[in-house]
Amino acid sequence: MVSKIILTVLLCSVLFTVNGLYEDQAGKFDWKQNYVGEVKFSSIDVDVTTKRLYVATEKNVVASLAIETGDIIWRQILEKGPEGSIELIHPTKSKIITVSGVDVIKVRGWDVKDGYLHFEWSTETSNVLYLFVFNGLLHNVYSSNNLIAIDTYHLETGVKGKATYTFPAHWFNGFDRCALSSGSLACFDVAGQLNIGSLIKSNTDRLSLDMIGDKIVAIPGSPIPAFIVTNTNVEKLVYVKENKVQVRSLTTRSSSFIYTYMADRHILLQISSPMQDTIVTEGSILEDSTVIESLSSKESKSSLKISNPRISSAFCGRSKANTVNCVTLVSTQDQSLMLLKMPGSIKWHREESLTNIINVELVDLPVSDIEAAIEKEFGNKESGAFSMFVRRLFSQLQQLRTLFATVLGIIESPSETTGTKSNLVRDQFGLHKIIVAVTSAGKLFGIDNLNGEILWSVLLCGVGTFYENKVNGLPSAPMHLQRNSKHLSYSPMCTLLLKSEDSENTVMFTFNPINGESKNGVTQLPYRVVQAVPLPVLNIESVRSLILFDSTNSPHLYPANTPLSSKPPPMYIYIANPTNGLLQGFTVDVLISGKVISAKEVWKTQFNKPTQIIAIGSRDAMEHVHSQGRVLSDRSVLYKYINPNMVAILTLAPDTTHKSVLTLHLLDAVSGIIIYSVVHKRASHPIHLIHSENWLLCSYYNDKTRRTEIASYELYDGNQLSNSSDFSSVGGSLIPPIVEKQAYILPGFLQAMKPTITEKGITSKHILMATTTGHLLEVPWAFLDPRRPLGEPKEEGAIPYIPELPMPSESMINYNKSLMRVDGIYTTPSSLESTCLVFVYGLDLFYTRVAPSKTFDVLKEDFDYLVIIIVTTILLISAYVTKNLASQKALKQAWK
Amino acid sequence: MMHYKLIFLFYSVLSGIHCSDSSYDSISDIYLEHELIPNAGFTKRSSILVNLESRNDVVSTTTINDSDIQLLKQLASKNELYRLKITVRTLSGKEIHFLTFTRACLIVGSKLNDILTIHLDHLDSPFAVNLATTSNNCNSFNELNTSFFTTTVFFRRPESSPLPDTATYIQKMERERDAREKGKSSNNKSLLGKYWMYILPLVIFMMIAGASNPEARQ
Repeated sequence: MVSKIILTVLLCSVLFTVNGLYEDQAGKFDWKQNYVGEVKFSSIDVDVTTKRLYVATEKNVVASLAIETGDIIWRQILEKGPEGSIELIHPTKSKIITVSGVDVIKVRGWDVKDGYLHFEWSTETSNVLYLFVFNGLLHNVYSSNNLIAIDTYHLETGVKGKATYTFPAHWFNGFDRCALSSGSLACFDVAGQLNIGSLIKSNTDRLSLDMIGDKIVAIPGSPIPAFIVTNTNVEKLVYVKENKVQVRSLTTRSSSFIYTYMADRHILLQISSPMQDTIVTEGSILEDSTVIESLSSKESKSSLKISNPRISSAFCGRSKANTVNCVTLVSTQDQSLMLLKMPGSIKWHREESLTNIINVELVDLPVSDIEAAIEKEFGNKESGAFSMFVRRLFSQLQQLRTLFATVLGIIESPSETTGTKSNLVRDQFGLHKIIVAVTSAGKLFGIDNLNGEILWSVLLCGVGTFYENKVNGLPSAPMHLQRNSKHLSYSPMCTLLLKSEDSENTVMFTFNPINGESKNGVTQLPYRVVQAVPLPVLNIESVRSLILFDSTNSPHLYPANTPLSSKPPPMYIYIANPTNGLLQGFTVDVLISGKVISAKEVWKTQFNKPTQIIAIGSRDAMEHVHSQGRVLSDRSVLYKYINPNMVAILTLAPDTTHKSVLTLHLLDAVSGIIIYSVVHKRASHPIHLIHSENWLLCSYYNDKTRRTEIASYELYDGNQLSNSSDFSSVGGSLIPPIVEKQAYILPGFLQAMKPTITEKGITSKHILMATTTGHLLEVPWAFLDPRRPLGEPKEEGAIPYIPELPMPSESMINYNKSLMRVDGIYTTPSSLESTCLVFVYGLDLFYTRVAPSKTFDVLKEDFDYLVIIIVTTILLISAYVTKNLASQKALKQAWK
Repeated sequence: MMHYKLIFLFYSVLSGIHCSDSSYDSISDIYLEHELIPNAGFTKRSSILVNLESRNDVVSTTTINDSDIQLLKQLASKNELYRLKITVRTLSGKEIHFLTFTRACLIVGSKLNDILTIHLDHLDSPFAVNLATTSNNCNSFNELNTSFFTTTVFFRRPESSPLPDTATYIQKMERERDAREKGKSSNNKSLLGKYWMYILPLVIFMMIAGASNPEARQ
C-alpha cells in the first residue's frame, strides 16, 4: 500500500515538473498586456506631483493612468455585471470616489496614489433615475409614489444628509426625453417646451424654453447645466448661466465639452472626425463664441483609425506665451482611448476594444522571399532545362542581393510576397504567427504573437455590425480562413460574416489576415446566413469555398460560380436554433462547377419548449488522433470511439424540482442519431464544454453541493474496432459506444477551459483552465480521465481516483501575471509537435506556449554545441590517424 | 445476434430509471410517413399505438402494397435516401414532428425490419427519433419477398450524471490509514527481527572477512 502511495506521489511529481518554468524563462515566451476597458468616466489630475488620469470603465474597472505615457499605474476591478457597474466617479484631493451597483449602491473611496480602498459604504435603493454629487453630498434621484424624491448622503461617510425632498412626477418623462447635467434636470414636455429645473434645492421653479427636439443628451462632466438638443440632425447647445437659458449652435457631428476657465468664463471644446484618419478640434469661449486659435487644429495620421470621438475629460491652462493650452482625454466609438494635447498632437493612444474580443484566429505567416523563390523554382516541373537555369540564376542573384542588403544594413524594403515588413515571415518551427482578433467594438486587429505589437487594425463601421447570440446576448462574428499562406501565387484570405447595418441580411467581409487589406472585400448578400460550412475541397483559386445556408434553408456557395478542383462528397450540414431548440440536418450536393443543388432536409430534432441550446461543442477541425486505442493491463486494446461527425450539444431547461437541468447530448451531425444523453440536475452557469478526441469535459456549478464540478466522459468502441475500414455515419449501427464517466471537484470557479492541440496529436493533452482567481492552470488530461481507478488500476500508469482536482502552483502557467475577467482561451498547434500556442483574452491579453509532454523534439537551450563539435572532430581525426597507423603496421607485418 | 445485444442494451438503459408519475403528457401513438419518390412528398406508412407505462418496447407489423415495394426497390437501386417523417402524438393531443433517414438499400436489405428509437428527455417527453435497420446489408435488395414492415420501437431515457465519488474515496483513505497504522505497529515490533535472515548472513560474511584479513596481512 505504502509503495503504491509513493508511486502515486512520484508519478504526480513527474507529471508536474512538465509544467514548471524556470525563473529566467519568465517573459521569454510569453507576454501580457493589461487593459481597462471602454472608458465611461474620467478625470484629469494635473497636480505636478501626481500627473494622473483616473478612469472608470464599462468593464467595471477603476484605474489610474500616467498622463505622459498612458500606462496603468493602478487598477481595481469591481464586481462583474450590473452589480459592479460604475455609475459615477468623483475625484477629491486624495481619493477617487466611485458609486457602483444597481439595487445596492456601493460607494468606495480609492487612494489616488496606489488605489488602496479607503472606505466603503452601501445603501439599498430602488427605481433610481439619476445619481449626482453636489457639495460633497451624493444625491440619489428616484421615483416613488408618483413623486420624484431625492435622498442625500454624505459622500465619504454615508450619513444621510438633510431630509428627503420631492418634485412632482411630471418633471420626468422618460430617459429619452430627459437629461441631467450638473444637478439640473431638463425635459421636453408634450407641448414642445424644454423645461429645466434644479434638483439641488427643494424649490420647484423651472426655466422653460420653446424648443422642439428629437433627442436630448447632457454634456458629460459639465460644470454648468448644459445639454445638446438634436432636432432633425441639427444640434444645438442649451446651457443655463446665471439662471438664464442660453442657446448656441454647434458644429455638426462633433462632441462637445465645457471647461471652467477663469471665474466667469467657460471654454467650449469641440472635437470631430470627418474621416477615419483625421481628428479636428475647435475651441471657443462659450459665452461670446470667440474662437481660441490655439485650440483649433486638424491632425491626420495614416495609422489612425477613429470613429466618433468624444471628449471624456479635459484640463486647460494658460501657457507662458499667453495662449490657452488644453489636455483632453478622448474616447472613440471603437473604444480606443487617446490623450490629445492642444495645440499639438496625440500623445498616446490605447486600444481598449481589445478587452472585448469575440473571435480570434492565429494565422500562419507567409514564407520569406528567398524560400518562395526556391519553392517556385522546384515547384513547376514541366519547364525546360533552359528556363530552369535562368530561374536558378535569378534566384541566386536575389539571394546575393539580400545578403548584401543585410550586411550593409540597407533599410529593409517591403517584401514582395507579403507586402509587409520583411521580418513577418514564417519561421522554421511555425512559432511566429499573426493573431487576428475581432472585437465587439467593430474593430479588427492583427497582432504579432511574439511581442504583442499591433500590426494593423481595420474599422468595420460602414461595413457591418454583428449578429447577436440570442441565448447569451453576446455578439457573434464567425470568421473563416478561406485561403492560408501556403499558396504562393495567392495572398491569404479570411472572411468575416457580419450583419448589414440597415437590414437583417448578411455582409461578407473578406480581408488579407497578414496586413488587413481588403480589395473589394465587402459583399452584400441578399439573404441572411444562418450557417456557414467550409467545403472539404479547394476551388481552382485555392480558396476553401463556404456553403452558406440562408434563413429559408437554401444553400449558396461563396465565392460563387468558381469551379472546384475536385468533386466534393455529399455534404451534410446541420443548423441549430438555440432559442426554440430546433436542430435540422440537411444534405447538400455541390457540383464540380461550383454550383449548389438545393438542400434536402434529412433529419429533425426538436427539444421541448423551455429548453435552450446553450453550447455546441465540436472537435477542432485541425485535430488529429494519433493513437486509436488504449492498452489495458491484460495487454488487450480498448479502441476509442472516434466519430468525426459527432458534436456535443448542451441544453439547459428550467425545472420545478431541480431549479435547472443541464443535458449533454452527443449527436451524430450527419445521421441525426443521438448517441448518448446524460442529465445533470441542479447545474447552472458558469458552464463550459470541451470536446476533443474521444472524450468530453463539462464543467458546471452544482447548486446542491455549491461547488464547481467537472463531469468527464470518454467513449470507447470496445475490444474490436467497428467501422474500421471506412467510417460512415449514414446507415451506421445503432449500437451505442461504451461511455466511461466520472466527476471531479474543482476547488475554484472557472472562467474558460480549452484543451491543448498539437500538429500530429502525439503529445499528450492538457486542459487549460482560467479560474476567477486569475490563474491559468495547465491540468494534464490524465487527472480528468474517467478511467482513474478507485480500486485496483485497470491499466498501467493510471493515477488512482481522487475526487478533488489538484491545483499546484507549478501548473499555473501565467505564474504571477494574474489574468482577470478571461473571456476565452485560443489554442493552435505550431509546426513543432511538442508545442502548442496559447492566447488568452479578456480584460488582459496573455500569450504563451506550452509543451504538454516537454519539448522532446527541440534541443535544450543550454545544449553544448562546442563539446559535441570537439568530440566529433577528435573522433574523426583519431579514426583517420589510427587507420593510417593500422595500415602501416599491416604493411610492416607483411614484410616480416 | 446484434439485434439481441441491442435489445439488451436498451433494457439496461430502461431498467435503471424508474417510471415517473403520470402527471406529464404521455405519448399515445406514433404516426409514420415515408418518402418513396425523391422530393415527391410523404405518404402514410403506419401508425403505432404506444403505452409508455408498460415500459415495453413495441413491435408492430404493417402491410405494404406492391407498388410501394416497387418504388422502394427503385429507391434502393438508385442508392437514394429513405426519409421517414414521424409525428408523435401525446394524450393531450399535442403533436411533435420529427424527421429521420437511412439509406433505402438498407431498408430493403434488412427485409423491411427497422428499429425506431425514441429519445425521451428527463421529463419523459420525446425530443428525437432515430431510424436504424437490423442489418448492414446493402446488396441483396432483389430478394425481397416480404410485404410486412416490422418496426421495433425503443424508448431511451438519458442517463444521470456522475457525481464526485467522495464517500468511496474517504472509505478507501480510511482503509489505507488503518492498514498503514497496523503495518507501522507490526513494523516497530520486529524491525530487526523481520529482516534477521538478511542481516545475519551479512554479519557472518563481514566477520569471516574481518577474520580472514589479518591472516592475509601476515
